[in-house]
Amino acid sequence: MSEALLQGRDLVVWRGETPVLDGVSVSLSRGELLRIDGENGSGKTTLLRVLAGLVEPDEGQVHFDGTALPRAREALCASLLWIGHRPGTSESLSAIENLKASATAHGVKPDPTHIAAILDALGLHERHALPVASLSAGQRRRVALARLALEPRRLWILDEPLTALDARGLDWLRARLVEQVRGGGSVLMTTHQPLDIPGVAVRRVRLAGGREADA
Amino acid sequence: MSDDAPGLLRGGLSLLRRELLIGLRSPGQWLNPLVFFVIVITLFPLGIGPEPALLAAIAPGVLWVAALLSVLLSLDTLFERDRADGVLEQWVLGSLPLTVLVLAKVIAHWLASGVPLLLLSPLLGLMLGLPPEAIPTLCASLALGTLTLSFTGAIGAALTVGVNRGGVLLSLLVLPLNVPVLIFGANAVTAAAGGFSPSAGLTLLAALAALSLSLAPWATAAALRIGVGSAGQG
Repeated sequence: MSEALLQGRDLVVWRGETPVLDGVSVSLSRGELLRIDGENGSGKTTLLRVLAGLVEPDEGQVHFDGTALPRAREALCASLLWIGHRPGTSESLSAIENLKASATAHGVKPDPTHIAAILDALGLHERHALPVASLSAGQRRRVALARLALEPRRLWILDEPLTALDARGLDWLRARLVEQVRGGGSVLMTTHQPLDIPGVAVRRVRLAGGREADA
Repeated sequence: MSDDAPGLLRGGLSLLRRELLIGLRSPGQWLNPLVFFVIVITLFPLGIGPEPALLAAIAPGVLWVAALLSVLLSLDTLFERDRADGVLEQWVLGSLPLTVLVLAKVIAHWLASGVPLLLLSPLLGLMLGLPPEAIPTLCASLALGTLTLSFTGAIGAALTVGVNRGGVLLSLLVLPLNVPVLIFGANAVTAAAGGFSPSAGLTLLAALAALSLSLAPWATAAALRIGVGSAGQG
């Protein structure tokens, strides 16, 4: 058995007549931070969605912990924290209510004081009880990211987590990434922004036109 | 994984609370179908004319058709907002079974759309000249019927999740499944109004409710997985 935590082999995904992914293979080890680079439309998001088990590839296989995906789905769901483009928060609920519901759906018992402490650390002091609809894009992003500190998972798949985030939010996220990797967890992420994380080696894979390209 | 039954129950209840909270904060979701139901029924006497015998004769059918269309109207948004917010993909990847989430969602939908209809129906029934002894049957048949409509409707809503203007498609998918509910429901009320026993119709409605309750969550969950997998880039 391979020691990779998450592995995609020869992944192909068609959208209509064009391949979005054209034979991509990636693997992510334990305690590794892998960053997928590439221009818009290069297939980054699709690759992440396939690896998270949201999209079934037309060809190729995803292996989690050495087991192929349809069979490993429960195990993957129990270890995975996914944050996509969409925030995953309901607009009419407050930050706290959203995080409670999310924790429940992910099998974590929500603790209101813990949630409040995380939101404070993210600079959302007075906004705990406001509906998310009244928050700015950056604040909503922070509410979504609060899950990283709330729901312990050994695999993070983050699609553009830095979007709309300011310097303080970025510092917070960087600290979480360091914690996750040092604790033996794995991170798979995309971003268009420069990201240097002191003390953590970031491996980079570049996608272009649905294929791996030389960096 | 939380496979233990109390854990599942607790999770389901807390998500049910979340759904009801969302409903409370956006009253349009459940008020619109209710207003539609009232408007359709109050228009009938105006269109047909004030003939008590005729109105009383068509009352069961009118009430039932209006209830069916009103529930259909509210199904459109069942999963759409959660999909657009990205909550749906979080649920698909969650460690609670998707069927538990679907069950919480559909029960919340029934509480917000079926139960208000049910509570208002005696008044509208009497307005149409339905004999008072048929009112309990009307309520019982609507209770069972709207529950079935919510569950079968959820399958349709899940199949059309992410489809632009999926409303018409949803109606086409769901209506054939709901024709038996309409027939048995309206028949039971007609029987009660004529002084006969409505138990045949009610029993069949109860059977349909039990069937949809036990099968629909699985079908809905499977359809949601496919819908989330194919719903666009983001």
